Amino acid sequence: MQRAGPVRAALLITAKDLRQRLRDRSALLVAVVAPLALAFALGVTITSFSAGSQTFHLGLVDLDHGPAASGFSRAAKGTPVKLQNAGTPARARRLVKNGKLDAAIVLPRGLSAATLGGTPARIDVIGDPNNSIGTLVARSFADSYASYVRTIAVASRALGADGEATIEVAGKVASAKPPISLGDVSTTKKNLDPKTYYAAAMAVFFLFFAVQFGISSLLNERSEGTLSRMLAAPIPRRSVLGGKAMTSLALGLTSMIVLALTTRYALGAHWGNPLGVGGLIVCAVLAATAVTALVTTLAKTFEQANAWLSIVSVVLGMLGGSFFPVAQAGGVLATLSKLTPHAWFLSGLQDLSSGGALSVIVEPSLILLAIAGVCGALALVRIRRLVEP
Amino acid sequence: MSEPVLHCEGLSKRFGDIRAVNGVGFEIAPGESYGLLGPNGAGKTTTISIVAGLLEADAGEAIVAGRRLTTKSVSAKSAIGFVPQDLAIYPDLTARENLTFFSRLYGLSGKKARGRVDEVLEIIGLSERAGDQAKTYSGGMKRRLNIGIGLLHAPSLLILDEPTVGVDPQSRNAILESVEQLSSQGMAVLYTTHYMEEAERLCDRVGIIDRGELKAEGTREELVAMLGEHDKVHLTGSGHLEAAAKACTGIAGVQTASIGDESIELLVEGASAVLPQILATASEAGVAVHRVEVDEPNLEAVFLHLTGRALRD
Repeated sequence: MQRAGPVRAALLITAKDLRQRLRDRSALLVAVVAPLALAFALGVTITSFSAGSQTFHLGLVDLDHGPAASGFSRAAKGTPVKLQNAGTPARARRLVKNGKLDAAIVLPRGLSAATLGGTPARIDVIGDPNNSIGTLVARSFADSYASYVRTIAVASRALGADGEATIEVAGKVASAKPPISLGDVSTTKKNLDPKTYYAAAMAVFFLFFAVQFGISSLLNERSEGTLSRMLAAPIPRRSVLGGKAMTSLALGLTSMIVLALTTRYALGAHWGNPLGVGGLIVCAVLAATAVTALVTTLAKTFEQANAWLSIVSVVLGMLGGSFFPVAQAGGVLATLSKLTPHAWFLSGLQDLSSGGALSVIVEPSLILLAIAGVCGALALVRIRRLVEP
Repeated sequence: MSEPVLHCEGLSKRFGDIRAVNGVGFEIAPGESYGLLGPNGAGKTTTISIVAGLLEADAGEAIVAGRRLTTKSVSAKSAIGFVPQDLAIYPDLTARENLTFFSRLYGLSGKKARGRVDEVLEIIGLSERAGDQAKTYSGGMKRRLNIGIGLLHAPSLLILDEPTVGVDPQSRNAILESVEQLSSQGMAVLYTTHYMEEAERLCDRVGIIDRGELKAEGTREELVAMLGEHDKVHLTGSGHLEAAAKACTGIAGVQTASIGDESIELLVEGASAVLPQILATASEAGVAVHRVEVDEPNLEAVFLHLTGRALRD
């Protein structure tokens, strides 16, 4: 009598599953399209708010017509602020309200005289409540300029320089590159840029959905009767389990690799050393498959498993920082975050992306493997019931 | 007699407090069709599941083609073709893909697998639609594909678990013809049904199963002979049927009486002698009899005789 060997049988089941998933396009949607779309949307949105990536158009209402205004304009050079003459305060208010300007700064009459005389003066900022960032930038810019003027004025007076020179020096100082810059030499790792962060975060978030098509489909096959048919075939039951686990692994790996490559070349994400990224991906896929297997063994029906897996995937994703870096919130959330595969995957990637050696992935990889081991072992204890007709 | 393809003895299975199968044993010879006849919940599917290697029996043993069958016995399973009651096919795969997948699980490969898939497609009449996804098939076509999968490796024993449930009459007839053909080609068939007509038409021997126990087995003639000189009397009428049936059981010569759809079914000894008394009793109980039929006993009558209830109960 002929029969398929255990490994061949498992591979046949995996191939059949993958064919089904490709045909109904569900896996493609969950494993590639959705994470890619979200990574793109979130990455681009967040990037647009990042420093240096956007120019803020601020209106300048010069009622002073003195040297203070020209010093102010010079101060804007080399910054993400573009100043344009807004005419009158009323016009500036209208332009801000219409969204033509992010905010406007009003230099009052007598500002230069006040600065020269060392008397107090007030610079007004016109902002739009719907554009709080633009308003904030305008306030900071005005504040910064005032601070420079104040500093230089004090210094000039001490040196006996005249007021006009003080303003000129203030403008030059404000637009000059800082002679001393601060480097990030803290013990904390560098953050991933938004594109990379959300590419990786969405990839690992949707990984937990992609791997569900393997293991949890056992419950579907049981309700559809096809599991009985497989169990009646001359193959060991471990081949059925193995085939389903391989489906999960194949879908998980494919999803992660496609997303890493696509976001690298289409979005410009910087994942880091390919070898290290590959290692982290393998560990994350193993962990996701084991968690999915464990949750599936607790469910009685396919529908129940799907519901529970969705909840677990979303909760783990949120805690693990797939939507925002929860760990930075500190406290309990930071501790809970460390229980998720997502957090360790992103942590390993951050270390790797900031130029760390391959050794930086050892700790996150080991923790991901530990999660896979513990959940996988618990799943194995209960998984027998999944391969019963 | 040649060595049986299937020998099972003392099969028992409990699910919690429920004794689903209790000491069931029977044999099937090569080329023989054996029917397990019983109502829903009688233990047919549990017996089949043990014999197909899906469930482990609590007690007893099953031997298929000389090999002891358990859920782990890969070699014994090679001799079995299993057709479950549900449509166990992948709707999003084509008929050819469904057949190819299962043929490979049964160890066929390459040209041999392709050739056998083509043969089976021919047998089940799906050659022309082989490339279409199964979800586009009619109910009858899906049923035929469901059976075809069980034939792929030309098994010594084909197990069919109520393959005609929920099937239209035309498809049902096609399925029965297929089974007759396979049986005539020398394949042993184990067929479960709760349709008496199917058991009578298809099966060389029938086992009557009820409440997990095999009550009797034999050819149709042997089983009917158990009833002796009994006739089946069928009264169609209206009124207090239950009271009338109860009253009729008190008549000498009436063995059993059961209520059907506006009818009473009785198993009687010497119908011609007892019939007047039956009609009188029915009338006294308030039943207006519209029609009387007296038949030769059949397997349904045997079931009634053995269990005291009708197959459809």
